[in-house]
Amino acid sequence: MPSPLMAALKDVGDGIRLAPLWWRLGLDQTASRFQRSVLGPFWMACNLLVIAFALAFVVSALMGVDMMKSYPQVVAGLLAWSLVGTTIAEAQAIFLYNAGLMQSQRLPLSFYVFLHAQKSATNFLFQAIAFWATMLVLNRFAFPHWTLIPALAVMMLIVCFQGFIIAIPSTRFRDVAYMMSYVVQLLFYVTPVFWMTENVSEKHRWVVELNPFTHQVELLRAPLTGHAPDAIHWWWTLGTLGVLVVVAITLLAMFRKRVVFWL
Amino acid sequence: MTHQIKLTNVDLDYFVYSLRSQSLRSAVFNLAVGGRMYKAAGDVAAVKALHDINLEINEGDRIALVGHNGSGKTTLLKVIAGIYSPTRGELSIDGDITSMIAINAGLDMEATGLRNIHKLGLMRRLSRKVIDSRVDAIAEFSGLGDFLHLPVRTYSAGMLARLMFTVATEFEADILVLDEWLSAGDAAFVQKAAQRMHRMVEDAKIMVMATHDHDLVQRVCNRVCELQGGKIAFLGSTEDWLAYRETQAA
Repeated sequence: MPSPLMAALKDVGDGIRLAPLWWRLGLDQTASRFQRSVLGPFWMACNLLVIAFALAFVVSALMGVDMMKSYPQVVAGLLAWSLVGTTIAEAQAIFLYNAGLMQSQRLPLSFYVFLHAQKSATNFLFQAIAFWATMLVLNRFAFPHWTLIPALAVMMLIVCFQGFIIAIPSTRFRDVAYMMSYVVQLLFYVTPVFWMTENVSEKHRWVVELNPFTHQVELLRAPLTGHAPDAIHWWWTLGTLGVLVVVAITLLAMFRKRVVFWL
Repeated sequence: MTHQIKLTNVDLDYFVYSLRSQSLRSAVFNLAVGGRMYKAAGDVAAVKALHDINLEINEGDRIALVGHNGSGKTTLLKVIAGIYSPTRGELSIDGDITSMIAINAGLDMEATGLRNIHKLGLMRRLSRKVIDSRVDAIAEFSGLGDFLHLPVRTYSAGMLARLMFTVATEFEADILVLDEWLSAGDAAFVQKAAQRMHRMVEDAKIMVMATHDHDLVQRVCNRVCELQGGKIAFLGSTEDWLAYRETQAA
C-alpha cells in the first residue's frame, strides 16, 4: 500500500500532467463567468483602476504626496495584491465551486488547485494589460524589468500551495471560508499596497518588514514599475514558499481521501 | 490490453457531516468538552455504506446494480469511478473510465447544448477536432437537433438524459459507469440506448449501470449485482437473478 505522503506527491504529479485540461477549463470558466457582459474580464481591470484612483487620492491628500507620483505605485501595488491577497480569499471556494465535478469524475485534488491558479493568472494578465495601458496614457510607462518573469513564477507556486492550505480546512469548516475574506481585508491594510513603507515611522517599521505579504507585493511591484526587486524580497518569498510546500503536502497527505466527503 | 474492474474486500465508511459540525465553533467547543459529546449526539456520523464487496467485472460485461434506495448502488458506482477511495480493501481498474453519475455533472447550465458537448469532450481529454467530428452524430442520435443551440437550463430531464447518454457513449471509453438517470428518457430513447449498449459489448467494453428499471436490466445487462444494506445479496447472470427474484417473492 502506498504511503499517504507518496499518494500526496502523486496527486500533485497527476495534476501537473493534466495541465492541458485545467488550462482549457480555466479559460472556459473565465469565459462563462463573464458570458453575458460586454466588457468581460476587463470589468476586473476597471475595478482595479477605479479603486487605485480612490486610494491614491486619499493617500496623497493625507500624506501630502503628489498624486501623479503615487498613482502608478498604488495601481501596481493593487495589481500585485490581486495575486498575493485576493487569491487567498478566492482559495476557500476551490473545492466547493467544483463540487459537482468532484463528485462525478476522478481527478486529483491538485487539479482544482491548478485550475484556481490558472484563473488567477488569467485575471492578473487582463489587469496587467489595463495597468500598462493606463500608464501609457498618463505618460508614466516604464518598461517592466525582466525579473517580473521569475517573480511571477514564484508567486504562482505560492498561489498553488497556499490554495491547498486554505481550501482543505475551508471545505471542512465552512466558517473558515467566511473568515478568509476578513483576514484578507485585514492583511490588505497592514501591507504596503496603497501606502508606502517610507511613510511608516521607524518604531512601527518592523510590522511591515516581518510581514511576508510585504515582500510578495514588492517582489511583483518593483519589476512591474521597471526596477529589480531587492534581494530581501526574494529571500522572504522563497522562504515562505518553502514553508507553504511543507504544510500543503502534509495537509494533502492527511486529508486527501476525505475532502470529497466534506462537500 | 484487457479491461477489468476488480474489488477485493472493499469497505467504504461514509462520513456525514451535519451543518453543525461544519462550523468551526463546534470544533472549538469539541475541544473544550473533550470531543465526545457531539460525536455521541451523532454529529459526525460514520455510515458503513459498503461492506466487504468482492466483485470482478470483465470485458464484455454489462452489469446492473440493483437494490433499494440507500442500498449502496451509487456509492459503489462512485468507488468504481474512483471518486471515493475505499476505506479498506483493494480496488484495481484497467481501462479508461467515463462516469455519468449525476445527470447534470460537468454541465454549464447557462451554455448551449453544443458548448456543453465541447466541454464534456474536453473533460474527456479529446482534441477539438475529434469533438467537432462527433457533434453531428450526437445531434442525430440524441434527437436534440436544433435544441443544441439553446442553453441547457431550458432542457427537460429527459432531454438532459438524451444529451448525457449520447455524449457518454459517443466519445469512446473502455468502461462506462451510469447511474439510474437514463430512465428519464422516453421509451423510444431508452430503446435506442439499449441497442447502443448492446453494441458496446462487441467492442469488448465494460458497462456498469445502477437502475431500478427491471425491464431495462433484462434488455441490456448480462450480469446483475443486487445490493442490500451495503452488502452483495446476489451476484450472477441475469437469468439466475430472475430465478432468484422468484424465490425471494415466494
